[in-house]
Amino acid sequence: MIAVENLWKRYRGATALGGISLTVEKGRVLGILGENGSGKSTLFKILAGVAHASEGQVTISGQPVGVETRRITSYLPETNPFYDWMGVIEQLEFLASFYPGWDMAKSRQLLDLMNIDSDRKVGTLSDGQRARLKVVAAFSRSSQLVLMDEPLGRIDPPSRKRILQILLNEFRFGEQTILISTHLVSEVEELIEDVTFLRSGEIALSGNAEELRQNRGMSLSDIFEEVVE
Amino acid sequence: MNTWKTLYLKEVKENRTLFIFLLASTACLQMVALLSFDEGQVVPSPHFLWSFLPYGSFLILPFLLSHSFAQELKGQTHYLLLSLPVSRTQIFAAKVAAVVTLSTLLFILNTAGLSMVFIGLQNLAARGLGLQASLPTVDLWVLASMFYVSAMAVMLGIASGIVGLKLVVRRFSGLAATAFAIFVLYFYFSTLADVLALPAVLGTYEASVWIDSTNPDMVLRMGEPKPIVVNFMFVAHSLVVGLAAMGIGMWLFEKRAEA
Repeated sequence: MIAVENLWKRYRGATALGGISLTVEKGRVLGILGENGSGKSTLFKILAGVAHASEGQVTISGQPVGVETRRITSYLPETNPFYDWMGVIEQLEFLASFYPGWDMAKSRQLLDLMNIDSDRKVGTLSDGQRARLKVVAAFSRSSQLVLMDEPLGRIDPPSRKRILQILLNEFRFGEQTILISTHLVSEVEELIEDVTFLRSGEIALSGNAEELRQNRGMSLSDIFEEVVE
Repeated sequence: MNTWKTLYLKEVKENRTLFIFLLASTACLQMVALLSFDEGQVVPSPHFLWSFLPYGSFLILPFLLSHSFAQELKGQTHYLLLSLPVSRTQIFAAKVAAVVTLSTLLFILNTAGLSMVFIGLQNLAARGLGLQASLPTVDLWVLASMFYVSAMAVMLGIASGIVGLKLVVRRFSGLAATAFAIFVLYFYFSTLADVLALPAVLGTYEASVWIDSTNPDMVLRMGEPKPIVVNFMFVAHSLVVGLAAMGIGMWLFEKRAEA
């Protein structure tokens, strides 16, 4: 599904990604774990096609990142990317017009689940509600790849795990490949199947989550502390 | 709905307050100009000159484009725009189209108002009080279109080029933008005379638009009482320079825009 080979990203002299290589099989849930500044968001931006690689190759479903890969990718950036002046439904309809597989009925179902009033303007929503709206937008269509960059950050702690569980169990379209980046490891621990730990723009450790837990005899949170911090 | 249309409508809706404000201001200025004429008038009130003011929009409107890109960055909505399955050029073109739409509406409203002001001036001239005028409506529309389209093309090209340039030049971007604007204007004016010296393959337009007064109470003169010949190569040159500068901006945006 995803093939990343010797990927570098430099910003005015600073290296955000230092030659990482990675493959992700179709239908897997991969956790990209690392501290702030480890390169998680940069990697997601490049996969989503909103940033360019300085060097290296990235393909999604065999195609280099571009218009076609953006069509099959749902991207939840860390920031709030919505237009404040649009209504909630207007925002979703705006997005729907770019993706043939958008399911508006599912959007409404997700809005209910996320407890978002569909009559409101985006600008009047709280930070938490906007974060939930990103989740609604990402799961309203049958994309092949979902990139969730720190999706839990602004959602209230008691709801985080429950929301992710419901999304992955009930709202996932078929064999969607899902990448979740976070530094809140304990909250995704049970959901992710594969894991890649990033440290200073490089891969510190990568593998199957269950195998890593068994081999090291510790949770992913503990491995995170050992490997990354 | 096709994706380009969706992007275009989003731009129009996003800027609708500004659109309405500018159109309403233009309408108000035209009203002030028109209301300056009355039945017993001997000398036209200088208020009719307000009618020309909205043409100055060609100096401001193109920079609505830069403002629009800046707003996307400020609101972080560029993350959403750039992740859409469309080319960067389409995003850019939708923003340009929104500015062109507004400037076209402003131009039509303004020239329609000015046409009525010209009719008022002609009515005054018909009373034989020392004012002489030749103000055919068709000539007004043709001349105004040629000059407005030319000015808008060059200015929009400059604004587009600056948007692209700012993606490449991070330090001293203001200086680079100013240098780019000066360069485009210098190139435009330094080549204009040569272009106009070429055979007028696109044809010329002969207009007769002038106002003169022999009344000592009325100091008013616009144009000369002889035909103005405008070469269509002037418009073509402006469009070529404007589109080339816009092409640079679009190309840089396609290659370098990122979140």
